Amino acid sequence: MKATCPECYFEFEIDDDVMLGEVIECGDCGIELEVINIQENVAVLQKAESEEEDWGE
Amino acid sequence: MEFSMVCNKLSWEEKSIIDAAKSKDVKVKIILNSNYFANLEKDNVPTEIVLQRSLSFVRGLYITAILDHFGHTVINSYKTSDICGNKLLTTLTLLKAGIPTPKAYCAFTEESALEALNELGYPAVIKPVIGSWGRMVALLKDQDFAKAILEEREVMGDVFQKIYYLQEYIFKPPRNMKQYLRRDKVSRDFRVFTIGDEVVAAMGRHELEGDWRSTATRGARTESLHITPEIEELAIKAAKVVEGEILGLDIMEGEELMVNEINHVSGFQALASSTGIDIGGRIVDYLMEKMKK
Repeated sequence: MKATCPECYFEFEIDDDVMLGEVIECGDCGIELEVINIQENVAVLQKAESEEEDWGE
Repeated sequence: MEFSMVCNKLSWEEKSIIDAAKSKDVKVKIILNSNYFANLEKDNVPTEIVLQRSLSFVRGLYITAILDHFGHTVINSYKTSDICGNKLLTTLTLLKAGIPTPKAYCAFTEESALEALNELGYPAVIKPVIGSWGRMVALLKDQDFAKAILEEREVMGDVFQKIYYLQEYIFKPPRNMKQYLRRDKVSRDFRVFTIGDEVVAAMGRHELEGDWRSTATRGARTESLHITPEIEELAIKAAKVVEGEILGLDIMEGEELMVNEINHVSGFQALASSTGIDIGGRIVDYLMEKMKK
């Protein structure tokens, strides 16, 4: 499945079984990206949420 | 069968739960808390059982409150989440039940915190009442250092960081003969994972390199732990007291075994890796039993 990093515009392939909400890494700039939509074999990504002060277990 | 799972993102843990559910023909409705919104007069979650896996404590707590209001069975419940997510409430609950826990004080200003520390003694540990993964947890070795930390928090801290939760520092026990002969280090503490009234897995955690904390999520070395009857009894008793269904308990060995903290949205990647136990699968099995009732 095709994906494009919204930060550096690098185009790369990700697994076809990727799910909404899954976090992946851009293969070029290394930023963490969240899958927010899947449309016709193309994954739409946005920068993943950063750890906030109340995150944890 | 179907259950919902509320989360910030699909981390390793959530993916392991989804994979386990798929293998058992159980459907999972994923609710990303960043997308979730609720009309407070109309329920919009289709399943009775909801597994709360939000990394964000505040979002998770309030979404649980909403779901609870609409009659869903949320694991863990609002009451459990409220207690376990707040170190002060956890300590008060454990003390009331007579469960061993490190000595702790609470103060609300720099001056009163220093007085509390004079009584508690050094070294001591300061922690934010709400927080996880070792964030802003500091080892106060002496009064000078305590003054510096408290001053910083008075100036730069938010409201919750100015609630000074102070805990005695628990020294590790000496190595036993087996550890001595193998030149093993004594683990800093144990993470014990309970589901229902059962201890499913446990691991020892060592301090991070160059640090005194032992957060597995930050890369602390872990190892499978033999679950003794004493550890099991303590963990189950503590889980019952906070009415928790799926918990990660931090247990320390000082002069006696004691419960340090209880995590209501416990990570388990390191635990699964250390022990080889399919914790995601065990969670799904538990949810399936609940769905059958």
